[in-house]
Amino acid sequence: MGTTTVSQGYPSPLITDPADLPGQLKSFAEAVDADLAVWDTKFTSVTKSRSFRAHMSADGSAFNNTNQFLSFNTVDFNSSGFTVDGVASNTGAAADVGWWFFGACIDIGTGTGTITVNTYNRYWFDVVYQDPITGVVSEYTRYGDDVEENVGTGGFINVSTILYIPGPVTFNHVVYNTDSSQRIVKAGSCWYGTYLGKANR
Amino acid sequence: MPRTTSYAGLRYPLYTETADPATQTQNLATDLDTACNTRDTTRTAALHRPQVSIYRASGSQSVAKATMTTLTGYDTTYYDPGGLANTGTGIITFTQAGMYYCEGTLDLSNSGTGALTYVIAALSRNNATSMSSASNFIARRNYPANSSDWLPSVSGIFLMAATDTLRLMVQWSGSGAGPTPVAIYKLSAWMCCTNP
Repeated sequence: MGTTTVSQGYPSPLITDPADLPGQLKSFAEAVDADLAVWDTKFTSVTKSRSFRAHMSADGSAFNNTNQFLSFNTVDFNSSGFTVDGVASNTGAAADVGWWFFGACIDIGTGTGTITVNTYNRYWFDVVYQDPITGVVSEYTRYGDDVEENVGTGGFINVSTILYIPGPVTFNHVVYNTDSSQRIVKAGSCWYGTYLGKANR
Repeated sequence: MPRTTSYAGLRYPLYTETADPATQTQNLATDLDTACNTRDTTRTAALHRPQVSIYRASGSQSVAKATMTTLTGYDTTYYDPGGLANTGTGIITFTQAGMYYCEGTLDLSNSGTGALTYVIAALSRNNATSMSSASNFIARRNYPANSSDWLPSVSGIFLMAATDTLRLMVQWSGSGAGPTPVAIYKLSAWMCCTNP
């Protein structure tokens, strides 16, 4: 017959059971073994979190004062559940509903033509998500940043934000400048994100 | 020869073995003890994720023109229980692989007499001084008005291996003496998670 422990259900013999040490130890060891495997999987899923980083492995197409979508063609790592390397937009369902941290570093260089001094470059990422319960679609153009051009050599834009992501989401990355001369987003430009935690509601 | 469980390798006797209840039970207990201890160590490490924050409260550092320069001479350790930072060199050396959120802030005044054309504040992994396919460099560039303070911050996520380093760097261009990063700059890092 045997019995089992209260919490984990590990098998153990009763005093009245026939002696069967090999069988009893085997049952106990295998039950504990199965639990260890489950616990380790759970623990790993927490400590590794959900995150991603993607970058451009080559310079992007030239752009000027018309909005241009960016793609990040090389995924360094991605356990987020998002698709992070799309051509015009990056779509995917959040692996975990809740708060996320997102950031980007965009390196803008010169293209053809002379950049007018004191024009500026702008990058932003646009977030569109649908609440899975209400169906309401919301859109945020959450962050922009600019670099004022004093010498016309381009520069770095660094942005970050935390966002509540309730469900499937679309990201759009856009660059723009206020000049008609061409510029490019340079190789190495990247964006990244990591899951912070569940919403408290 | 005992058998072992498929996942954690816990020993248990076979029917063909000589009965030795004390030893065979002890073997299983020992294996369980080791398995629990290993997991305790892992969990303790996870609960005490590496984190470090250093600050410079006095003095200043000159930065050569057009040279990506590491800020050094931090004089205050806000928090560094793991001893990751060398405040003198301004280098943080990680001991545990993982994904880290890193941030640098600084207060930079234009002490020079000429025009300042741009200033870059950057976080550098392993002393990188430009963008690369390895994503070792996160930077912010701007044009601060002359004769005024510029207080930028730069932040981002790096995937660090054990022994990788982090620096806060500055570069400027312009005429005249250029700026001096004054006595307020801070470099921090916090592990978000182990390797994703």
